[in-house]
Amino acid sequence: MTGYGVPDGDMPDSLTPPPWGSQPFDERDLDALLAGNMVAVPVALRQVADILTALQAAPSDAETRGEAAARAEFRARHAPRPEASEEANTPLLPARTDSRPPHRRRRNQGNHRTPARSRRPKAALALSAVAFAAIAVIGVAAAYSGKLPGAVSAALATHSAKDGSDPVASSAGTDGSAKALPTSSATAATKSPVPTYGASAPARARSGAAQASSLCDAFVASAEHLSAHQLWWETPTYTRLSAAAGGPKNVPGYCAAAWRKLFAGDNPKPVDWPPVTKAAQGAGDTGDAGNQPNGQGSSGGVQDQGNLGSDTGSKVSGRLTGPDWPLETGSDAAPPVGPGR
Amino acid sequence: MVGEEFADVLAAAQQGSEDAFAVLWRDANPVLLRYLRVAAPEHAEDIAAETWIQVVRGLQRFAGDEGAWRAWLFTNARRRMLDQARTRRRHPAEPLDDIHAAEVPRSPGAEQVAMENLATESAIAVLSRLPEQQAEVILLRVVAGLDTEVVADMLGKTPGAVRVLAHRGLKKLQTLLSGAGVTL
Repeated sequence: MTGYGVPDGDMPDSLTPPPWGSQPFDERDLDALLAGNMVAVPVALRQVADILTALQAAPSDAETRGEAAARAEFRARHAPRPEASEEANTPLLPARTDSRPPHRRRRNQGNHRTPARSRRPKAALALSAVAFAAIAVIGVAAAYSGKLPGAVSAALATHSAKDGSDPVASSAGTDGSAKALPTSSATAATKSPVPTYGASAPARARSGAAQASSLCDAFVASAEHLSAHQLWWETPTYTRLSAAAGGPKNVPGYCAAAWRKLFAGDNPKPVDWPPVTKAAQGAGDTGDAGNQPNGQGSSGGVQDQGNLGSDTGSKVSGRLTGPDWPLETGSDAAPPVGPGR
Repeated sequence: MVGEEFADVLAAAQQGSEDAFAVLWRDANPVLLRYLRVAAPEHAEDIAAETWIQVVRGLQRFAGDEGAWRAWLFTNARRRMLDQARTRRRHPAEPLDDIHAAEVPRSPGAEQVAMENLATESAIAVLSRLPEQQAEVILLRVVAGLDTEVVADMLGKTPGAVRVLAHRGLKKLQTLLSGAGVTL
């Protein structure tokens, strides 16, 4: 077997053992055992492989006996506890908020919603809005019928007489020309700068009464060009007008003659009334400013004007019922008015 | 080993699934007990229970694959084992000399369980005759299925030293088995 000429198939697979004895396995066999390879195991390591295989055998009942305790420990740590979930769902702040006195809660909520400085002039603004809504009704009525309602004429006459000026309501005809203006208001108007206004340019060169008229016309003109975020009662023009008239409440009487002429078609520039602005629509959403007519367009037809009249009438009648404003409100006071009338 | 589903099982357990945790426990606890029966034969059950408590507490913070999971589990077990050994050295328990051997309570069916798991018990008994570090390395490599590098990190040794310990342990085991004629 070890000589020459022996076929390869008859040759031994390994060398003969050395004289000091055979080496049954090497480190590669040990590494294979440690890696879990129990298949090609040398004979000398067969028993060791059996031991390692027994260590990897399926678990016994004794080794799985503690599962219940382990589950209990897991539940105690990870399962949702009812108390914890309730605490998690409970808001942290409501108890503290609810425990505060009601008056303090209301005050804080009010401060949070609306600054104090924006709430203060609300009454004045509401009054102004009501006044101009009434003026709108007057103007519309005058333009529609050519003369003012009797109650309004009386109110204007009273107002003019109170101011020491000539009564204008009595002479107000279809031509709408103003015979006189309140002198006291005119005096106040001279102190204010006269706004530039093309429609009343001839009037700016006149006396104080004429300047007062220009203030009224300037306000109407400026109200037409307000942007969507501007409110007409916050414009400098109206501020000056209100100051000249002695307050928002006196503005209608102060501007009665000028606006009568304006609505009668005596003005060189056609002006829509009430002022057609985007702000007018937005003002309807602001609570007190809701007295401002809304839904009014420059090409407003009969239906639009009817809405104007009903809106104005209902709100004016609910807020201003004094002797200074014996207005006739309702849809009858809001005839259709188109541009240029 | 759990295998390819380990990530899903672990995630479910971390989200509070008790069944998923049970899968992890059933897979690892038998191996853990076999390791502890060799490393700390008198307190294997207690140490295993303490180990699982630690695992449950830190389960949501764990991140890694199954190898890392096994390494984390056995690292916890080894620390519990060392802590308990240190405690018992400081406060040795008094022997129960007054209790007769026949009066020691025994769990029902212990003999049957022993017979059924004779091979495993015998293997543990034989392995317990090895030097402590050699037996521990073999158990961690073969039973726990940890790599040489991981075992080296756990024991604070180099991978070469771990490999030498394992080889010496297997040779010693072969010598013991061939000389004693142990058959499983």
